[in-house]
Amino acid sequence: MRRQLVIACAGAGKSERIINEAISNYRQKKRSLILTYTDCNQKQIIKRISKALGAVPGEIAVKGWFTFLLEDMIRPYQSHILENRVAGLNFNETDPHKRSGYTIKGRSEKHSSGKYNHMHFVTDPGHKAHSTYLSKLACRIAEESKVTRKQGRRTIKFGSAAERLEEIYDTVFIDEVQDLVGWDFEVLKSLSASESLDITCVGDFRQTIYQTANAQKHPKTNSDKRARFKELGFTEVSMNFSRRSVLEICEFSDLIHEGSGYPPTGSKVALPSISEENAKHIGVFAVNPKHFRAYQEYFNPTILRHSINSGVQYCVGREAFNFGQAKGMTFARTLILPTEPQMMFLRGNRAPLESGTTDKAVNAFYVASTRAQYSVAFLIDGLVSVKGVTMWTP
Amino acid sequence: MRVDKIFVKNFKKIRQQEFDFNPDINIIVGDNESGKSTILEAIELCLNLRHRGKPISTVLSSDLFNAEAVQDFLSSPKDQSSFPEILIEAYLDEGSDLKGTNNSKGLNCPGLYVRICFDPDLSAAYLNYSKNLGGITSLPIEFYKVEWYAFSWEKLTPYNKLITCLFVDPTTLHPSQGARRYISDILDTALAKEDKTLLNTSYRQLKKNFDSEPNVVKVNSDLDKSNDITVKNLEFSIESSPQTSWENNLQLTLDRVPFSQIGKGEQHQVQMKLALWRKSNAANVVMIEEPEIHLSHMNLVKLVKFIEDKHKGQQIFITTHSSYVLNKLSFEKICLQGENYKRLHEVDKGTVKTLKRFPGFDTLRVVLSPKVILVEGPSEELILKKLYLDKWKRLPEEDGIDIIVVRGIGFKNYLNIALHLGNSVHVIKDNDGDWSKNIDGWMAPYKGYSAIKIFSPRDDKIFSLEPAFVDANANSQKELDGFAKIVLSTVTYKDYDKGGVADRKSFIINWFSGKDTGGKKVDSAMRMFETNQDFKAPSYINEALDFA
Repeated sequence: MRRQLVIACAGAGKSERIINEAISNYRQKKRSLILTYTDCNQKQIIKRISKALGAVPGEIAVKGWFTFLLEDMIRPYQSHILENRVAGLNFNETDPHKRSGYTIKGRSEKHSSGKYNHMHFVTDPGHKAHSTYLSKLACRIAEESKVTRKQGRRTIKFGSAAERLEEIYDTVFIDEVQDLVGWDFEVLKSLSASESLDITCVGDFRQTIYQTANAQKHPKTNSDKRARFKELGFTEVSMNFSRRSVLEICEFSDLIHEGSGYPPTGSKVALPSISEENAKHIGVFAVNPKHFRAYQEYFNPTILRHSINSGVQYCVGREAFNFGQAKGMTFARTLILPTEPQMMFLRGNRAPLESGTTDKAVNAFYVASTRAQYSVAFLIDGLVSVKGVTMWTP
Repeated sequence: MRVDKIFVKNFKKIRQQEFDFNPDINIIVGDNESGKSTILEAIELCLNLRHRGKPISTVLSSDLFNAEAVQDFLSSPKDQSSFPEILIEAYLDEGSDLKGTNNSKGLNCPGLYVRICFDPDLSAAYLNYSKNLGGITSLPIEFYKVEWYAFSWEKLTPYNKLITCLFVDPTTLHPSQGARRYISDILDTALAKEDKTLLNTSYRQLKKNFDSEPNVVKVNSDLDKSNDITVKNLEFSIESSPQTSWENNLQLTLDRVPFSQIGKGEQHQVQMKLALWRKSNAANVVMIEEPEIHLSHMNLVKLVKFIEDKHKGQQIFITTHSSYVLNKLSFEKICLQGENYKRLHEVDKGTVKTLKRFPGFDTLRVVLSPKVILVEGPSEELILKKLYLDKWKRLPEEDGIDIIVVRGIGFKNYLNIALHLGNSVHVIKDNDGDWSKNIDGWMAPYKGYSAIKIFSPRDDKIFSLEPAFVDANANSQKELDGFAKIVLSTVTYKDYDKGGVADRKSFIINWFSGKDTGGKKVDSAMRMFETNQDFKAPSYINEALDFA
């Protein structure tokens, strides 16, 4: 039973690592379950496995985290809590039990009789599970369906779902593990009770932008999460060589989380093989808005922005992605339209970027800065004081 | 992967019943109309979502519902909640992907179920319908839906269900309707994926070759030479319909004779053997309905041998009316369907072995008759029938009493079967001069089974049937002479007709036990059967005939 937490820098090829291990499992006739958080990542993984093997074999299952909760953690044993089959998912933007700040009546987890209240977990009518409470439901079912088993000299308690999973799979891989929060960790704990399952979690806490649930349960911050992994017996392994970006970009992006204890990122990118005349344009740059058109014409970078409303005048008619969207993507060159706090950072003031209650703003900046292979440019007026950033003039 | 048991509710013959199965061979026997085929159909429906090979959605009708359940519905208020539902659950031995507690027993095990129930999405429509139509006289099947789930509550598709059955049903094998579908069924289940792909590509290649055939090219080039009809290139070409239809354009041939043209018996055998011939791992469960149909005894022997040899790794279900099939395939594999369902997997191994060696014995009679009288020889059978006929003016069979001559395999093997069945068995047996040893001691192993009773003269001197009859008819010389006239030939009667009652009694008894005793017994039994004269029966015989 291996418990591994792989912490990777951006572009380290962490999905690749999962895919390679799953394929080698497959060759040894072992079954793997690969869990991802985003749809996009799931498609990527399926695509890459298909490339390698022709198609995804029955021995490798690729599922989204919600689908996994629904199909493997909830439905098989839901009868302990819910009578009717959970029909599907109800995606919540916010807490479904709150309306304009007030808690809606009749939504508590249990009735006064001590019985579970289905309204806490599913919609009625419809019987779709609230995404916010999905992992909580999975944990409650695991508690209610516990079986005891002798394991060596110890007697351990086991959720039926974990027992079923270890009968089906040899290894569970969880990609983008940085996005799990709160109750998700309880699910992980329930899986960890199995001695025969290998569990490998892969993630980069510097890239947490989404969260799988917006509930209030801890752990929420990166350091809490890493501590929780440790408690569950995971050993940390780091992957700190970027296979996407040149060293200049890696060094710049390391500055964003400076002081959080991440090892310095190296680069495994061979220097540009691009045979263009501007091949020498390598590294991180600051571009004055008045030179936008010229820079755009020279290098044709992909534009990265905070949201669809930012810098509309620059984006119209050009390829542009929001920071969140760009996660997992690779471009040759990027031009970032920085937010106000990001500009402050570039001018030497970290505080505004780090002022939020979550790491979201810092992480979004990290994601944006690590998309490019050869050059990152910031569209910014005035002087830039962060080291490694060169002013560009036509 | 095997089916450990199924639970069936409201499906055809079955109101609500559970059936457990053997992992290898299951021989389902039962009287006509007892629901043997229903068991196979239930398995097919649950595992393949098909009924007799056709997708259930295309053949859904009220006939699939248990008649009693439909009657209950029709006499109910007919509200949404009184709709009867069909539920078939298959509990499997492995396959954790299908595991969960979503079954009627709440068991945490792998399995799947099909449920045909009122569709709540249509409740508003039903409300309208029932208002407008005052009296509903049949089950409104239009308001039903079919659900197909694993016990993990994952929706099932033909691809994720992991277990497949093949239903070989000789009775519906008819060239006019089934041959095409049936061929594609065989291709589907009997061929490995690679073989199927090979056939498919070769077939498409064949189409292509046709187009480049010189004669075809010539016809095509002459077709609209001067482009009068169209400016485009007009050509004949083989229809390129969707690639799945290639199966429909193939046929099986035997010595180049199309499958549909060969004899029924041969069709049959080929069909069953192909199902069992596992080139692919496609079918885990093979079901064969009445394999004896259309087959001569010799071909049945060959087929049964084939089943015995080839079933390894598959779970087989067979319905049969043939004792040969069940004796040969192992008697302990019987699943008896009647008022109750019962497996005979605990039958004595020695008995199973004996029946395999002597597969000709009509064991099904013991299994299926509610009342059985076991006798030693044909003379007993004749005399019992005569006595019954005289008393009730009809034959015992008509009252469900089967008189079976045990002969070769002996009483014990029959009794070893009967003690698992619980049907009433009366044994008529000679005491052979030692009642306490041959009757009382002999019966000891069956003492606990109230359904098994033995009947024999208590008096050691009355050692077999004939002395018992002599004794019963010797209250006066007149009576004895009357009896002697019935059982003895005219020539023998002359030798008999001297001395007192005691001499006359011993004459008959000695005559029976002398030379050619078997022949004499049968001859006199025939005479007893045919006579119009009255004679008395010993009391133990009368008791044996009484099943009250």
